[in-house]
Amino acid sequence: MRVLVVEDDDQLRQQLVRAFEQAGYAVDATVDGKEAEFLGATETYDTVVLDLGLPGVGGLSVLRSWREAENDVPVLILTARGAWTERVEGIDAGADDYLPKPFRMEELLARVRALIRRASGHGAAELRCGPLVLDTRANRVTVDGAPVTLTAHEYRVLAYLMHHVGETVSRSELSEHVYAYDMDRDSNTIEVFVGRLRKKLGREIIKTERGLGYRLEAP
Amino acid sequence: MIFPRSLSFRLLAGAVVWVTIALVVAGVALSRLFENHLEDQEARRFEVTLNQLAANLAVGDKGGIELTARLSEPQFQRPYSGLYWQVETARGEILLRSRSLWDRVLALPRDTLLDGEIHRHRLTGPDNMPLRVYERSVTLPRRQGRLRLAVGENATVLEGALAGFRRTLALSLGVLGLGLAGAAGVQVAGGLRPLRRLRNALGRVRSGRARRLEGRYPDEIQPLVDNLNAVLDQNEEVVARARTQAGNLAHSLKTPLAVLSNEAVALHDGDKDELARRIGEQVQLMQRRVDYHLVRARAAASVRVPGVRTDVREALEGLVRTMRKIYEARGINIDSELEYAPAFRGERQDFDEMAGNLLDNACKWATGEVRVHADATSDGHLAVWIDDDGPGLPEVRRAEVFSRGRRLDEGVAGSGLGLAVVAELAELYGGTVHLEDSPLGGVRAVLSLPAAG
Repeated sequence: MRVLVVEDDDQLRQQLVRAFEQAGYAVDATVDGKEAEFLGATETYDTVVLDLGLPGVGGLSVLRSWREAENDVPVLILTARGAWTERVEGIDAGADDYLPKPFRMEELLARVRALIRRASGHGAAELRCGPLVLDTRANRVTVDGAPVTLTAHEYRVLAYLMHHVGETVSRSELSEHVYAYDMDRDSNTIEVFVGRLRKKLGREIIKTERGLGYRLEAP
Repeated sequence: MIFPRSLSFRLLAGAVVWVTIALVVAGVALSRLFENHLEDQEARRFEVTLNQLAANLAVGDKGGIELTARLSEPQFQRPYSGLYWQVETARGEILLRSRSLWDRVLALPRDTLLDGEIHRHRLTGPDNMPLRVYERSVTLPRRQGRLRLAVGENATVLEGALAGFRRTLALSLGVLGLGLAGAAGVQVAGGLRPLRRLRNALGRVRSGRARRLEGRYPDEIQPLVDNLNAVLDQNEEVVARARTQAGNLAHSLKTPLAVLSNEAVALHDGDKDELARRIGEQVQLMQRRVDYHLVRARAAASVRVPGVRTDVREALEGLVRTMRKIYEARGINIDSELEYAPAFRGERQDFDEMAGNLLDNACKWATGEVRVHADATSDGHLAVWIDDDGPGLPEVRRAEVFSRGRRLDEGVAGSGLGLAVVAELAELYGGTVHLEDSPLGGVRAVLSLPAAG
């Protein structure tokens, strides 16, 4: 899962990046509205955390330009402007959730998880596929109740597939959701992660559709 | 002296006084003029008669005086007709008199006249009739001494004519006066109409139906209206600036507070648990105080701004939209019935804050159903009812959720401040908020606020 953090306060941005990384996300961060607009339009994110009081282009106009371009990436507005009038304005501009500052990091993470689940049509915090259970709150994966230890990248690949059970996901799509912007992206490494996942979870669980990508299916 | 503080009364009273004075003066002058004219006419007529009398007098053979021809006026012949003549000597010996005098005489006062001079007297004649008498003296040839020739007429003839004229004059001047007073009344009412319009316009501003004084006024009043509008604009600007500044201060504190709060959480992982907890608590407290005073300062300033109104239906629709989105994951169904909601006499932001917090609270506690209903009450207020199907709240605890002190210091995440702000804002606007049992099974919040007419 990959998130974009748009926040102009350096300290808070660092805290957010750290928190999301610890929670197993690939994170891009920017201070600037223009850059945010560009990243949101060209990259693929599972959620954007957007501050409204940005230098240059304001958060709301960034959001509006995405929505006008029919980019429906889930957006959570994180702002000091907590009045209800401003929340209504934010939601009307196309935001999916609104969290006023100051906030608690756990709450932010919970809301981002909920947004990602909602976007992929899942209601519960625990995703299941056969014996496989992924708890999005705790980043924990179990097979038949036995915990499995995964690296951050392995977890992201699995989480993305778990959010799209039964669908064929291409390698490039996977890499878009697994790597941050400044990482050296190589879709071949996706193959490596999938290989490791198969080793840890069982061979049959991730199917390969030749030339198309991977598919997660309950056996 | 009690002088009513009414402009209309002053103008009207002034006009009436002025009209009265003018009419009285005109009346007196006209009646004087007419009287002079009548007297002139009379004097001329009598002069003619006196001349005729003098011309017809002749000294008889025995030295007596006799009349050679009868005077033309038939009234001289009819007894007590009211028209008389008499000739007497300077010593008062009556020589001749008109037949109309019959057995009476004109008792002329003692008087000495030069030849040709005509004097006027007022005497009492037969039947105590007042007489106007003209007299001249002549000296006849072949006779010693002057003769006094007198012609008299009933004074009521002239005075009657004069009185008749005065009555007509008074009547017509009176009618004219009433007409002028009426015209003055119409003029005053018409002239002061812009003031009435101004008062109504100000009333609309006060009641929140208008932000400024609308329309064009006469040149005498327009500067006043312009200045009033300038004051209104300035007031609004000052309030807006104060609000922006308060808002900027409050908002600028929030990001540092967020950073501090996150650092405190990070400390948890180390051995500084107690410290972290305390920092966390204090950060929460600071956040609530900032929020609370931000809302309060803004509202306190805006309550006094005239002419603000909020479309309640539009505001609630926005809030419902927002709640649906925020609580989408929990599957809360929000029904609303807002068709008959009157406008709120106050700021949109304040209304949003009150209704938003109540609605947010309802959504938090609801298990699946929230209902919003806004309408006008029978006493002309705006009422908003927000129902939820949550667990409800025992009656004894309902009042305290709105109490500021308790909520401000209570460590309930996220929800602490909201309801205290609602109560505070409602009170500032002269409204109320309370909780009761909801037909849905949970809590019903009832928010009552002044409606804008």
